[in-house]
Amino acid sequence: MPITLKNVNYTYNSNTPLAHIALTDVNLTIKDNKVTALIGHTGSGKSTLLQLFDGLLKPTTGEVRVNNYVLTSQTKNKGLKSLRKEVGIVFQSPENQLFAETVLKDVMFGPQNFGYSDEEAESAAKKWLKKVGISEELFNRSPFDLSGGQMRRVAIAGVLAYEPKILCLDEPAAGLDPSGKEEILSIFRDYQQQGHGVILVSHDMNDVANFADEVVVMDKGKVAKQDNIHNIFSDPSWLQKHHLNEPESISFSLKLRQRGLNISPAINVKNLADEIIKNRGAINE
Amino acid sequence: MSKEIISVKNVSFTYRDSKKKVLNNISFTVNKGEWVSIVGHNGSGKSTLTKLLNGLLIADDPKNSAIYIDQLLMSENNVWKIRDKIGIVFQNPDNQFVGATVEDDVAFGLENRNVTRSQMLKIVPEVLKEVDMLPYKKTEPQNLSGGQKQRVAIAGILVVNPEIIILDEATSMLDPEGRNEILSIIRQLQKEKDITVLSITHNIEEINKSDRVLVLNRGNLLKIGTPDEIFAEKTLIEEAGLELPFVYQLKEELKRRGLQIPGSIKTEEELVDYLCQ
Amino acid sequence: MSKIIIGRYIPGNSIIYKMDPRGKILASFLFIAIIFLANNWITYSILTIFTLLAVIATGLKPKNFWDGVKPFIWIIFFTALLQLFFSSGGKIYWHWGIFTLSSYGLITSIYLFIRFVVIILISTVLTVTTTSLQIADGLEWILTPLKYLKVPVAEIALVMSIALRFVPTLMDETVKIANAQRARGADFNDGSLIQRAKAVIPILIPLFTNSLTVALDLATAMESRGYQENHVRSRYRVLKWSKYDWLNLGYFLLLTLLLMVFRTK
Repeated sequence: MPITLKNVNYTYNSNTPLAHIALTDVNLTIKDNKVTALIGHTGSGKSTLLQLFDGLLKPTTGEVRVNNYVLTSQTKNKGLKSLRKEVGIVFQSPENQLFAETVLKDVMFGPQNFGYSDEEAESAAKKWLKKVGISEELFNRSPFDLSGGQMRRVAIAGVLAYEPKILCLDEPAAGLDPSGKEEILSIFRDYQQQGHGVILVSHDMNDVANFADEVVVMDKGKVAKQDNIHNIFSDPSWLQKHHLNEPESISFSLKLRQRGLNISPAINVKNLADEIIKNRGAINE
Repeated sequence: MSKEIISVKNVSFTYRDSKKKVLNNISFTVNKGEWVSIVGHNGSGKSTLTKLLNGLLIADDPKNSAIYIDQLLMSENNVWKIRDKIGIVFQNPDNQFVGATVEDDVAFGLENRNVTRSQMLKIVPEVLKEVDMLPYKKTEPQNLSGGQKQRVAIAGILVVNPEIIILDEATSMLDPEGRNEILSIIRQLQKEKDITVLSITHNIEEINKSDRVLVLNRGNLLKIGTPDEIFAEKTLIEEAGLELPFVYQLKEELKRRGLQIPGSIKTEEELVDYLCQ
Repeated sequence: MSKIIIGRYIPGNSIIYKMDPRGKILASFLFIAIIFLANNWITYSILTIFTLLAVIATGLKPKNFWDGVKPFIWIIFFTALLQLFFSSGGKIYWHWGIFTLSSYGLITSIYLFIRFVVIILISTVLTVTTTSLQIADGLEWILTPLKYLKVPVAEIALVMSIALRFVPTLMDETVKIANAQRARGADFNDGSLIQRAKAVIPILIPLFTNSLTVALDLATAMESRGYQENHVRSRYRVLKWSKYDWLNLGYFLLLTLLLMVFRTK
C-alpha cells in the first residue's frame, strides 16, 4: 500500500492568532513494503506527516492518498476507522498510553475497536505479546506493574495486534538500553519482511543506516531530499547543512579517503570492514 | 594525589515493599574533577544509587555502611549540606521545571536557601549566561525545546555552586543536537570549575569519553575502570547490556575478517593512522 | 471551550498591563460591590462610561471583548427578558396573561442588562491583561492575613503557581494520548452518551497515571534542589506598586464617589 502526498500544506490552528505552519507543499511517495526513514531536525514536520498518514490530521490544502483512501481538508472523520486499521502508528513513548486493567486487555483494545470478535482479539493479542517478548505470566498483570521496557513492548504489541499494512514508528527505541533497542528494531525488521511497509522516524543515524531502505529528509516543513539509503548518506556536507549527522561508518570511511585510501562510503560497520579488507587486498596484489 | 570527593562503602538498598536488594554491597570512590559514567541495564540500580548520594533515599544497615560526600558523612544532620554540594539533572525535561518562567525556575534553589532578592538578581543572569539561555529569561517552559529546558535545569543547579553534578539520563530524551549542547556545557563546567560529573547514560560515545566507567548489573557493581579496561572485557559488556563504541566494533569486525588490530589503538584517529600506514 | 475568553491572557503593553495585579484584583472587587449603588439613568451612564474607558485603555481590539461577552449573551438576554415581562409598575403598555410590559419593567431590564455586561467587561479587562500567575501572586498577597489563622498561604501559592505552569503541559499530554487511542481505533464522537463517557477512560487513566509520575518526579527534583516544607523561603518574583496603581484605585474611588453623589436617595 503506497502513500502519496500531493501539494500538501499543513497549518496548526489555522485562522487563529496561534497559526503555525508545519508543512509546505509536500510531494512525496512512500513505497510499498520497504522501510522508509523520515529524518530531520526537531520541528521539521516529521510527526505531522505521520499523523496525516492515518487521518489524525487532515491536510489544510492538497491531498493524501493511501491506497483507495483520499484525504483532503474536506474529509469527514466518519470513514477513517478502516484507514486507521491499515495504517498503525506507534507514537513516541507509547508506554504512556497504556490504560487497561491487564496487559492482555490493553493489547486487545485496538483489535476490538477494529471489529475483531473477543476471541479473535484475544488470540491476536496473545500472538503479538509473545512476538515482542512478553511472557505469558505477565498477560493478566496490570501494565503499570511492568518495567519501562516491558511497557514499551506491550504498547507496541497493541498496534501490531491488528496487523496494519503500514506500521509507522515515532522514535520507537528512544530511551531504551542498547540490547533492548536491538531487540525492538529486529521485531520491526521481521514485520517488514512479512510483507508490510514500515515508516520510521528517528534521530539516530546509525539506526537509520542499519535499518532503512529509503530515506525522506525533512527540513523546515519541506521535503529536502528523498532517495535510497546509499545516496542519502553519500554527501556529508549536504547532511550537515540540514542539521543531520552522518552514520559513524560514513564519516570514518571519509577520513580514510582523505588520507588517500580508495574506499567507497560504507553505511554500516560490516560494509566498512569489508571495504577496508578489499582495499588492503588490492594493495597487496 | 587528587582529593576524594565521593566515597561509598558497603552500601545496600532495599525498597520497603520488596525483598529484593536493588543495590548489593556497593563500594567505590570518585576523585574531584573526574567524569564517571554509570552504566547498566534499565533497572540495574543506577537511579537508586544517585538518590542515595544526595540522601533522597537512606541505605540499609547504616551501622555498617557509609556515604561520604566531600568528607561529610551522609546523615540526617548533614543531608542539607550535602544537597548544597550535589546538583542533579533528571531525565525528563518537563518534570523538573518548577518555575513559571526560565528565571523563576533558576531562582528556585536560591529561594529555598532564603537568599536575598538583590543577590538573586545578580546570580540568576550570571548562571543563565553560562548555559547560554539569558535571552530566554522571561520565556515559559512550554515555549522551550527539550534541550533548552535541560540547559535551564543546569543553570538551576549552578546557582548553589555544586561540587558534583549528576546527570540522571539527562540527555536520553533529547535529539542529537540537544544532547551535544548539554554535554559540551557540562564538559566546560568540569574543566573550568573542577566539577565532578557522574553520568548515568546509555550513550556509548559519552561513555567512551569519560574518565572511568562504573558498571552495574542487577544491583551488583561488576567493575569500575577506564573505558579501555571496560571495553576490553567482552563478557562484561554483554552482561551489562552495553554496545561497543564504534572503533571497538570496527576492530571486532576486522578481526573477524582476519585483520588483527593492536590493542593499543583506542581512538578513531589512531585507527585511521594505523590503517593508512 | 477555547472560545471562553475570560481567563485568557492576551499579550499587550498598554498602561493597564503595567499595573500591579493586587490593585487590579482589588479594583475589580470594589467595582462589583459598588455596581449596586447605581439606580438611575445618570449613575448607569456613569458606570457605562467608566467601564468603556477602562476597556479602551487596554489597547486591545473590541473583538477581544465581544468574545468575552458572547458566551453569556443568551443568559443575559434571557434574564433581561424575564425582568422585562414579569415585573410591573409605572405605565403599563401591554398585558397578556401573566406577561406585562411596563415602563418599570423596561427600565429595570435595561439596567440589568448594563449591570451584567459591565461586570463581564471589567472581569475581562482584568483577565486579558493579567497572566494567571500574576493573579495567583496577587491573590496570595490578598490572602496574607490568613497566615495568622495558620493557613499555609505561601505553600498554597507555590502549589497554585506549579499547577498553572503544568496546565499547558497536561493539555499537550491529553492531545497526545487522545491521538494515540484514536490511532488504535477509539471513537470519541460516536455512540450514546454512556458509550462516549466510556470512550474517555482510555484517555483519563493514562493522563492520571502520567500526572502521578510528573508529581513524583517533580517532588524528587524539588527536594534535591533544596526545597523543605515549612522553611522560610525568599522570593524572586515580587510585585511592585507604582503610580499606575494609585491611578487605578483613584479611578474606581472616583467612580464610587460619583455614584454616591448622583444616585437617587
